[in-house]
Amino acid sequence: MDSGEEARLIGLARGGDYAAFGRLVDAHQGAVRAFLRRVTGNYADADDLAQEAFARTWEVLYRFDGTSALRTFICGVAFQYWRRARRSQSRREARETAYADLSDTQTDENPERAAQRLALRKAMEELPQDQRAALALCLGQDFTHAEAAEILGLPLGTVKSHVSRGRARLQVAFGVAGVER
Amino acid sequence: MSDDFELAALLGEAPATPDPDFRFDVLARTAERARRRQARQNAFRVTTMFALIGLVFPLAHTFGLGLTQLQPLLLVAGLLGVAYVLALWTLEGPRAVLARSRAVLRLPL
Repeated sequence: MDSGEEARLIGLARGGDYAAFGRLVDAHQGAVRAFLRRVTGNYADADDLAQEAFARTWEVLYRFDGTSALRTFICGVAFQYWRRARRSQSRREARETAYADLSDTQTDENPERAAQRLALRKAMEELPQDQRAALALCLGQDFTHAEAAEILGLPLGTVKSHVSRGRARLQVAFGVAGVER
Repeated sequence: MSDDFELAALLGEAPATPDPDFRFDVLARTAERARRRQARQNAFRVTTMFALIGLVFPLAHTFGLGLTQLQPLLLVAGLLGVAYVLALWTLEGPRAVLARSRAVLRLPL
Protein backbone atom coordinates (compact mmCIF):
# COMPACT_ATOMS: atom_id res chain seq x y z
CA MET A 1 0.00 0.00 0.00
CA ASP A 2 1.51 3.37 -0.99
CA SER A 3 1.74 6.22 1.50
CA GLY A 4 -0.86 8.38 -0.29
CA GLU A 5 -3.46 5.63 -0.16
CA GLU A 6 -2.58 4.92 3.47
CA ALA A 7 -2.97 8.59 4.40
CA ARG A 8 -6.37 8.63 2.69
CA LEU A 9 -7.48 5.52 4.60
CA ILE A 10 -6.23 6.99 7.90
CA GLY A 11 -8.27 10.13 7.22
CA LEU A 12 -11.38 8.04 6.54
CA ALA A 13 -10.79 5.88 9.62
CA ARG A 14 -10.46 8.98 11.79
CA GLY A 15 -13.87 10.00 10.51
CA GLY A 16 -15.32 6.69 11.70
CA ASP A 17 -15.06 4.60 8.53
CA TYR A 18 -14.74 0.96 9.65
CA ALA A 19 -14.14 -0.33 6.10
CA ALA A 20 -11.10 1.93 5.72
CA PHE A 21 -9.80 0.81 9.10
CA GLY A 22 -10.32 -2.81 8.04
CA ARG A 23 -8.05 -2.22 5.04
CA LEU A 24 -5.41 -0.74 7.32
CA VAL A 25 -5.70 -3.82 9.55
CA ASP A 26 -5.18 -6.05 6.51
CA ALA A 27 -2.14 -4.06 5.44
CA HIS A 28 -0.38 -4.15 8.81
CA GLN A 29 -1.55 -7.28 10.57
CA GLY A 30 1.39 -9.34 9.24
CA ALA A 31 4.13 -7.22 10.83
CA VAL A 32 2.27 -6.72 14.11
CA ARG A 33 1.34 -10.38 14.51
CA ALA A 34 4.85 -11.57 13.63
CA PHE A 35 6.35 -9.22 16.23
CA LEU A 36 3.96 -10.39 18.94
CA ARG A 37 4.35 -14.06 18.05
CA ARG A 38 8.11 -13.80 18.40
CA VAL A 39 7.96 -11.86 21.59
CA THR A 40 5.28 -13.94 23.35
CA GLY A 41 6.11 -17.35 21.92
CA ASN A 42 2.41 -18.17 21.92
CA TYR A 43 0.34 -17.72 18.76
CA ALA A 44 -3.04 -17.46 20.49
CA ASP A 45 -1.85 -14.88 23.03
CA ALA A 46 -0.04 -12.96 20.31
CA ASP A 47 -3.13 -12.71 18.11
CA ASP A 48 -5.24 -11.72 21.11
CA LEU A 49 -2.82 -8.92 21.96
CA ALA A 50 -2.64 -7.88 18.31
CA GLN A 51 -6.43 -7.54 18.17
CA GLU A 52 -6.43 -5.44 21.33
CA ALA A 53 -3.65 -3.29 19.94
CA PHE A 54 -5.55 -2.65 16.70
CA ALA A 55 -8.75 -1.87 18.60
CA ARG A 56 -6.84 0.60 20.78
CA THR A 57 -5.23 2.11 17.68
CA TRP A 58 -8.70 2.94 16.38
CA GLU A 59 -9.32 4.94 19.56
CA VAL A 60 -6.01 6.82 19.50
CA LEU A 61 -5.63 7.26 15.75
CA TYR A 62 -6.02 11.02 16.19
CA ARG A 63 -2.62 11.00 17.95
CA PHE A 64 -0.87 9.62 14.87
CA ASP A 65 0.92 12.59 13.29
CA GLY A 66 2.37 10.86 10.22
CA THR A 67 6.02 11.49 11.14
CA SER A 68 6.58 7.73 11.35
CA ALA A 69 5.01 4.75 9.61
CA LEU A 70 1.59 3.63 10.80
CA ARG A 71 2.83 0.09 11.49
CA THR A 72 5.46 1.60 13.82
CA PHE A 73 2.70 3.43 15.66
CA ILE A 74 0.59 0.25 15.94
CA CYS A 75 3.57 -1.80 17.11
CA GLY A 76 4.23 0.82 19.78
CA VAL A 77 0.68 0.29 21.05
CA ALA A 78 1.15 -3.49 20.82
CA PHE A 79 4.39 -3.28 22.79
CA GLN A 80 2.64 -1.42 25.61
CA TYR A 81 -0.08 -4.09 25.69
CA TRP A 82 2.49 -6.87 25.78
CA ARG A 83 4.36 -5.22 28.66
CA ARG A 84 1.13 -4.85 30.59
CA ALA A 85 0.09 -8.45 29.89
CA ARG A 86 3.51 -9.69 30.90
CA ARG A 87 3.26 -8.08 34.29
CA SER A 88 0.15 -10.11 35.04
CA GLN A 89 1.42 -13.40 33.65
CA SER A 90 4.01 -15.44 35.42
CA ARG A 91 7.03 -16.77 33.57
CA ARG A 92 6.36 -20.26 34.84
CA GLU A 93 2.94 -20.31 33.24
CA ALA A 94 4.46 -19.31 29.90
CA ARG A 95 7.00 -22.13 30.09
CA GLU A 96 4.33 -24.67 30.86
CA THR A 97 2.32 -23.69 27.82
CA ALA A 98 5.33 -23.76 25.49
CA TYR A 99 5.06 -27.52 24.91
CA ALA A 100 1.34 -27.29 24.28
CA ASP A 101 1.89 -24.45 21.79
CA LEU A 102 4.30 -26.54 19.81
CA SER A 103 1.76 -29.26 19.32
CA ASP A 104 -1.02 -26.73 18.63
CA THR A 105 0.73 -24.67 15.99
CA GLN A 106 3.19 -26.99 14.28
CA THR A 107 1.62 -30.40 14.13
CA ASP A 108 3.43 -31.48 10.94
CA GLU A 109 6.85 -30.35 12.15
CA ASN A 110 9.70 -32.83 12.47
CA PRO A 111 10.91 -33.51 16.04
CA GLU A 112 14.35 -31.96 15.48
CA ARG A 113 12.89 -28.66 14.33
CA ALA A 114 10.35 -28.74 17.18
CA ALA A 115 13.20 -29.13 19.65
CA GLN A 116 15.05 -26.22 18.05
CA ARG A 117 11.94 -24.08 18.26
CA LEU A 118 11.52 -24.92 21.93
CA ALA A 119 15.17 -24.18 22.73
CA LEU A 120 14.87 -20.86 20.94
CA ARG A 121 11.73 -19.93 22.83
CA LYS A 122 13.35 -20.76 26.13
CA ALA A 123 16.33 -18.62 25.22
CA MET A 124 13.97 -15.77 24.27
CA GLU A 125 12.13 -16.02 27.58
CA GLU A 126 15.38 -15.64 29.44
CA LEU A 127 16.23 -12.37 27.69
CA PRO A 128 15.45 -9.05 29.38
CA GLN A 129 12.15 -7.52 28.28
CA ASP A 130 13.52 -4.72 26.06
CA GLN A 131 16.15 -6.95 24.48
CA ARG A 132 13.54 -9.53 23.65
CA ALA A 133 11.26 -6.97 22.04
CA ALA A 134 14.11 -5.40 20.04
CA LEU A 135 15.13 -8.80 18.76
CA ALA A 136 11.56 -9.75 17.86
CA LEU A 137 11.20 -6.56 15.83
CA CYS A 138 14.51 -6.67 13.97
CA LEU A 139 15.30 -10.36 13.58
CA GLY A 140 13.14 -11.04 10.55
CA GLN A 141 14.06 -7.60 9.18
CA ASP A 142 10.45 -6.51 9.44
CA PHE A 143 11.62 -3.30 11.12
CA THR A 144 14.77 -1.23 10.95
CA HIS A 145 16.74 -0.45 14.08
CA ALA A 146 15.48 3.14 13.94
CA GLU A 147 11.86 1.97 13.77
CA ALA A 148 12.44 -0.43 16.66
CA ALA A 149 13.95 2.41 18.69
CA GLU A 150 10.84 4.47 18.09
CA ILE A 151 8.49 1.63 18.99
CA LEU A 152 10.33 0.75 22.18
CA GLY A 153 11.14 4.32 23.16
CA LEU A 154 14.85 3.53 23.43
CA PRO A 155 17.97 5.20 21.97
CA LEU A 156 19.13 3.79 18.64
CA GLY A 157 22.48 2.63 20.04
CA THR A 158 20.72 0.69 22.81
CA VAL A 159 18.50 -1.08 20.29
CA LYS A 160 21.48 -2.03 18.12
CA SER A 161 23.25 -3.37 21.18
CA HIS A 162 20.13 -5.29 22.30
CA VAL A 163 19.75 -6.90 18.87
CA SER A 164 23.41 -7.83 18.62
CA ARG A 165 23.60 -9.33 22.12
CA GLY A 166 20.22 -11.01 21.83
CA ARG A 167 21.13 -12.62 18.52
CA ALA A 168 24.38 -13.89 20.03
CA ARG A 169 22.53 -15.43 22.95
CA LEU A 170 20.07 -17.16 20.65
CA GLN A 171 22.92 -18.54 18.60
CA VAL A 172 24.56 -19.80 21.77
CA ALA A 173 21.30 -21.52 22.61
CA PHE A 174 21.66 -23.38 19.33
CA GLY A 175 25.20 -24.30 20.11
CA VAL A 176 26.75 -22.24 17.33
CA ALA A 177 30.51 -22.01 17.93
CA GLY A 178 32.51 -18.82 17.98
CA VAL A 179 29.88 -16.30 18.95
CA GLU A 180 30.26 -13.66 21.61
CA ARG A 181 28.15 -14.01 24.72
CA MET B 1 20.78 -22.23 11.51
CA SER B 2 22.33 -18.94 12.57
CA ASP B 3 20.60 -17.12 9.73
CA ASP B 4 18.35 -14.33 11.04
CA PHE B 5 15.40 -15.25 8.88
CA GLU B 6 15.47 -18.84 10.02
CA LEU B 7 15.67 -17.78 13.65
CA ALA B 8 12.77 -15.40 13.08
CA ALA B 9 10.75 -18.12 11.37
CA LEU B 10 11.36 -20.48 14.28
CA LEU B 11 10.28 -17.86 16.80
CA GLY B 12 7.05 -17.04 15.01
CA GLU B 13 5.92 -16.31 11.50
CA ALA B 14 3.38 -13.85 10.20
CA PRO B 15 0.43 -15.23 8.24
CA ALA B 16 1.30 -15.44 4.56
CA THR B 17 -1.74 -13.44 3.47
CA PRO B 18 -4.02 -11.02 5.34
CA ASP B 19 -6.44 -13.03 7.45
CA PRO B 20 -10.08 -11.87 7.03
CA ASP B 21 -11.07 -13.57 10.31
CA PHE B 22 -8.47 -11.53 12.15
CA ARG B 23 -9.83 -8.32 10.60
CA PHE B 24 -13.38 -9.31 11.56
CA ASP B 25 -12.29 -9.96 15.16
CA VAL B 26 -10.51 -6.61 15.34
CA LEU B 27 -13.58 -4.75 14.08
CA ALA B 28 -15.82 -6.65 16.51
CA ARG B 29 -13.53 -5.69 19.41
CA THR B 30 -13.38 -2.11 18.22
CA ALA B 31 -17.17 -1.87 18.15
CA GLU B 32 -17.45 -3.55 21.54
CA ARG B 33 -14.97 -1.13 23.10
CA ALA B 34 -16.83 1.83 21.59
CA ARG B 35 -20.10 0.50 23.01
CA ARG B 36 -18.55 0.07 26.46
CA ARG B 37 -17.05 3.55 26.37
CA GLN B 38 -20.41 5.02 25.43
CA ALA B 39 -22.11 3.08 28.24
CA ARG B 40 -19.53 4.35 30.76
CA GLN B 41 -20.05 7.93 29.63
CA ASN B 42 -23.82 7.55 29.90
CA ALA B 43 -23.55 6.04 33.37
CA PHE B 44 -21.27 8.88 34.46
CA ARG B 45 -23.66 11.50 33.04
CA VAL B 46 -26.73 9.99 34.72
CA THR B 47 -24.92 9.55 38.05
CA THR B 48 -23.65 13.12 37.98
CA MET B 49 -27.07 14.50 37.11
CA PHE B 50 -28.84 12.67 39.93
CA ALA B 51 -26.07 13.54 42.38
CA LEU B 52 -26.48 17.23 41.53
CA ILE B 53 -30.25 17.02 41.88
CA GLY B 54 -29.78 15.29 45.22
CA LEU B 55 -27.39 18.02 46.33
CA VAL B 56 -29.93 20.79 45.77
CA PHE B 57 -31.97 20.01 48.90
CA PRO B 58 -29.16 19.74 51.48
CA LEU B 59 -27.52 22.87 50.04
CA ALA B 60 -30.77 24.80 50.16
CA HIS B 61 -31.29 23.61 53.73
CA THR B 62 -27.77 24.77 54.63
CA PHE B 63 -28.52 28.25 53.32
CA GLY B 64 -31.75 28.36 55.29
CA LEU B 65 -34.17 27.81 52.43
CA GLY B 66 -37.19 25.68 53.19
CA LEU B 67 -39.44 23.80 50.82
CA THR B 68 -41.86 26.77 50.63
CA GLN B 69 -39.16 29.17 49.43
CA LEU B 70 -37.83 26.60 46.99
CA GLN B 71 -41.23 25.86 45.43
CA PRO B 72 -40.96 28.29 42.46
CA LEU B 73 -37.46 27.06 41.68
CA LEU B 74 -38.53 23.42 41.85
CA LEU B 75 -41.50 24.17 39.60
CA VAL B 76 -39.24 25.71 36.95
CA ALA B 77 -36.73 22.85 37.25
CA GLY B 78 -39.54 20.31 36.91
CA LEU B 79 -40.93 22.05 33.84
CA LEU B 80 -37.47 22.19 32.26
CA GLY B 81 -36.98 18.48 33.01
CA VAL B 82 -40.29 17.54 31.41
CA ALA B 83 -39.50 19.74 28.40
CA TYR B 84 -36.13 18.01 28.02
CA VAL B 85 -37.68 14.55 28.16
CA LEU B 86 -40.32 15.54 25.61
CA ALA B 87 -37.68 17.01 23.31
CA LEU B 88 -35.60 13.87 23.62
CA TRP B 89 -38.63 11.70 22.86
CA THR B 90 -39.40 13.80 19.78
CA LEU B 91 -35.86 13.42 18.51
CA GLU B 92 -35.04 9.87 19.51
CA GLY B 93 -38.23 8.17 20.62
CA PRO B 94 -40.12 5.39 18.82
CA ARG B 95 -41.97 7.92 16.64
CA ALA B 96 -39.13 10.38 16.32
CA VAL B 97 -40.66 13.04 14.06
CA LEU B 98 -37.49 15.14 14.13
CA ALA B 99 -35.05 12.23 13.76
CA ARG B 100 -34.38 13.11 10.13
CA SER B 101 -33.64 16.75 10.98
CA ARG B 102 -31.26 15.61 13.70
CA ALA B 103 -29.48 13.24 11.31
CA VAL B 104 -29.03 16.08 8.81
CA LEU B 105 -27.66 18.41 11.48
CA ARG B 106 -25.61 15.59 13.12
CA LEU B 107 -26.53 16.78 16.58
CA PRO B 108 -25.02 14.86 19.47
CA LEU B 109 -27.43 14.64 22.39
